[in-house]
Amino acid sequence: MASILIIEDDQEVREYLENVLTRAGYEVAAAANGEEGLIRFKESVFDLVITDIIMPEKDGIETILDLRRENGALKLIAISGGGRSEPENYLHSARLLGADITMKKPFTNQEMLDAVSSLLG
Amino acid sequence: MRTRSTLIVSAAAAVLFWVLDALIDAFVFGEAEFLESLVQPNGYELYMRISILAALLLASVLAFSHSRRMAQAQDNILAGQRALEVRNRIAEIFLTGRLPQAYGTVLSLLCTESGCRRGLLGIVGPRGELEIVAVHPPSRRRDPDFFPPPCLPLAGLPHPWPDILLARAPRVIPGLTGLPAIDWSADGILAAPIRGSQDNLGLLVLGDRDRDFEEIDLEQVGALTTFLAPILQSLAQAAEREQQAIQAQKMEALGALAGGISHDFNNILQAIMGFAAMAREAVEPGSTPAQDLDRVLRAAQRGRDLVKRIEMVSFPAEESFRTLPLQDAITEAVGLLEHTAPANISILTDLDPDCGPILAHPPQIQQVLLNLGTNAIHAMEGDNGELTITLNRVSGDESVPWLPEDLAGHDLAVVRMTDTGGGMDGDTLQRAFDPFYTTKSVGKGTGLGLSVVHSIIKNHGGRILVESNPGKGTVIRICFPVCDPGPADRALEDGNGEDLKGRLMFVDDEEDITLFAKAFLEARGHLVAAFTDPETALEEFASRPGEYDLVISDLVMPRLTGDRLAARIREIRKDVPVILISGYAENEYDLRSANPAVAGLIRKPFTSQILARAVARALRDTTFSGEV
Repeated sequence: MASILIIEDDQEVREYLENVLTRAGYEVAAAANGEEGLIRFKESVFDLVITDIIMPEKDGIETILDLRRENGALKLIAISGGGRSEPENYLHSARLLGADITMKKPFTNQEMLDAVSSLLG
Repeated sequence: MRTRSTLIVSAAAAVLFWVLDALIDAFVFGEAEFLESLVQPNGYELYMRISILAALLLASVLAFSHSRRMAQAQDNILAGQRALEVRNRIAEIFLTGRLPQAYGTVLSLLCTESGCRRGLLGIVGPRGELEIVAVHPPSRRRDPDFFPPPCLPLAGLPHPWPDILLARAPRVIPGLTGLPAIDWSADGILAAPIRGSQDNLGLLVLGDRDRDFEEIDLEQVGALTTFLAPILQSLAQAAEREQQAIQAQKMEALGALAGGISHDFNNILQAIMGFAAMAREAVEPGSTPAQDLDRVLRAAQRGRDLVKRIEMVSFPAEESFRTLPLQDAITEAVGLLEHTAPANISILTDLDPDCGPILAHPPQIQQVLLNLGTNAIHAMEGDNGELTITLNRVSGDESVPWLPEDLAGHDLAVVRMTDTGGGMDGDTLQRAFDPFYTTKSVGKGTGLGLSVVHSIIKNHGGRILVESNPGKGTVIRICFPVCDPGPADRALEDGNGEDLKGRLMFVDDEEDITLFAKAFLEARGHLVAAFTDPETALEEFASRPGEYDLVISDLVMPRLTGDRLAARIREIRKDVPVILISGYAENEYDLRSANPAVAGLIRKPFTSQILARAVARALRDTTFSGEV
């Protein structure tokens, strides 16, 4: 069974993603920020990382760069609810980093499950 | 007075002369008895005396009339000086005072100067209403800081006020004249219109004076209103500009607000929608909890749509602009509107097939047409109605009275939407484009529609003009600059799905971005040379101009900005397109029309799909024009 790491600072969204993916039969681990996410990522093997982009401390951009350094072939989904003032430059880079799929919040359960299964085959 | 005393003095002088001459004749020359000479002078004496008296009389008459003229001239000078002083004082009040208090001070000054106990100053507002900006004596109950000046619709003014306003010159109206709407009246008034170069700006009324008004008062007040007219006109223009600035600030504030709240709202909605959908799957279909959860999901969907609309006010669209024939857009919108319009409302169109296309973001234009169309249909609800949509091309050299100055000289595509609904009053019209302003009942509309329409049209380099009167329907004109299609756009419309491969130059001062753009674009089969320094990139291009098919550059970079880089590249080779990447709210229309080298604008943040699409499009365009 494929394993997925969720990196998301918003507690409700994090719990929702854990729930929806667990119920769909994936093995799921979650982290509340980029730093914690990287520690989790090094601890075990993941087939896919879903990361939020605007997070306090270590944001999604840095996280994606670090994850790519660890594993160049890693499958990545970046999710974001927008936000435009300061975080905007990070978002710009993040999309260019080549996250396989980027999704704008809010998305439906089916959209997320379709995105995940399209990457995990 | 002066005339009588002069006469008495002259008569006394004549008598004195007569007596004196008789004395001289009797005692100096001894020609006759004194009494005889006094009463019965001989022929020669009589002739002499009468001649001398006549000469004296003539001299004194001349002297008198001269002195009278002098006195009059002096009076005129004094009156002129006084008038000048009054004007200086008025100018000073308007320069240093605050509106609307300054109007009151000026009116009080004029009343005091003319000896009138009552006065009134009214100004015709931008939407044809008479704004009573000052009354004298000032009312203590209506402090202008707390009460806006009363506005009276011109159509509802009682006799003789419309006549006063439309008159060409001041006039005196005896007896009691009143304006009941503001509880003002005066016994005997001098009423003067204030006329600008083209229209009536307002009126000045002075009244309740102890002595009657005379010709000279009419002249003076007439001169005064001529002096006041340009001042009032420029004050009105300044007020209008201030109003526009406030409107712009409001839109900006909404944009900033939208950025902050949309992020949080999207997270909140994500959790609500996600959990509700999961719970919905867990409960028995058709059960009460399932129906309740459906309601939650529907409500969340509405929230999602609302956030999308808020974002559209402030966030520019990611999609690129293309040339769009408005005829197609209107026909499509009318098709949709006809489905939603009640049967008693008909939609008529008259579209000029030769009106050129515009540079536009098609879904946004669709939104503008649908929003305005739906508003028109709502305005006609309950009655038989007609919505007429016309499309015309207005050539840049035609003079059109309603055309905004900044669009003059452009060829314009003008969409005119006329409805037969209830129209809008001045207040609603003024606030129509304010975010969150709505006349619909709670739940029927968010009030965001027209502010979105406004910002979309602005982003397209266009303008929206609204004319409306209660009971007379609404006319909305949307003007867009016409963009006659280049071969590039036709190529894209005819193009097949296959991606062309090209030799690309990618310039961005952030190294991470250049690295990943290079990796991403090379993975799609392009050859990519990436640069973090725009000047180095330019040197490289200058040394091998034939080696590149397309340049993609960040807009904001130190030393050389993307648009200047584009211009320099165009100096070297005309046919190389440049795509700019920008995070700021530049107007794509402005950038592209200012710089022919700019083939497109990608907004940050963008998806890799958008980058791929923009590259494919630019490559296809150059290939096509190469073949032509």
